[in-house]
Amino acid sequence: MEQLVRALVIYIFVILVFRLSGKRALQQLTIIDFVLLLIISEATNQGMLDDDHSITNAFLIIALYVMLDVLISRLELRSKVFNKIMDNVPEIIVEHGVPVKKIMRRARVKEEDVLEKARELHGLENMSQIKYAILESNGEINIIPEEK
Amino acid sequence: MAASNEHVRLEVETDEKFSHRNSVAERIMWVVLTLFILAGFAGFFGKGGISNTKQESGDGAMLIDYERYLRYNTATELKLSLLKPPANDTLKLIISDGFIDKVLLESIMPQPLESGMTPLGQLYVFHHKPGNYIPVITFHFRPEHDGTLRSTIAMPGAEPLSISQFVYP
Repeated sequence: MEQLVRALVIYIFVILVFRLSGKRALQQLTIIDFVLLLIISEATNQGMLDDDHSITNAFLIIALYVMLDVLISRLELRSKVFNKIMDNVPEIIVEHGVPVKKIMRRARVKEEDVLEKARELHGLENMSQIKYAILESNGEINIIPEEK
Repeated sequence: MAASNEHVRLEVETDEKFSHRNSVAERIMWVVLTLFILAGFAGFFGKGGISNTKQESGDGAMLIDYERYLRYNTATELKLSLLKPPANDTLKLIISDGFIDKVLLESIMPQPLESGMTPLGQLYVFHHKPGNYIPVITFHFRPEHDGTLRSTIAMPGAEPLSISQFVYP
């Protein structure tokens, strides 16, 4: 019982910290994926398992995390607000070649990051060739080039 | 508004109001985490800094050197200096059950000659060579319960000394 409560508290803390660390802290994985991977791999950690190193306890904690993940994904499907809270929302950071500085500053994205992605994804040479740059909810930058 | 319409065509569901609130929440979180880390450095969660403290009994017979803040199941120690040791060769200490019941006592240095139960708590008897020195007894233990840990240490003929520690989960 106590171990499960400790595991739950750690789960909530890690989600909160990573969710509010900003999009740029995580780029490839969604926040939930990242946290799930991180804490399952840390399931043997002393702080979580205390002095109970039994397989039973490890199974209980892994089961708890997986079911929490299922619960969160179901809640996300049901509630748009919950989905936004857990996964954040995408933001347009460049519109028709013009960087939206306020949003970029807030999201800690540099113009160089956008240009790098534009080169990598579409071989673009400058900002004016970008129709939209979108900072996705998982921190990834996607580029839509101006139509030629 | 033309841009937002285009975003709809783009099928990117932006939400400026939410993004702003999110950014405020992020900043609050950074402040909270910074304070949390600073409190950790200061020793507010144990292991040095403001956590280390000393307390002397009213009659000046005992001095305890201990940590005010402890962590669950984490090793710590309590040093008891006997400023007015008895003149004979045995030294008796009684530690309250409130302490004994809530910790895993790993070792006592020096080792007691004998131990036993009394209505007031656990009795430890130590061998003591009278002389010009201050005997120091160290208790190494791990807290096994979260929350407040209250302990009373008594020595026959001296005023008991009570301390309170807080155990973080």
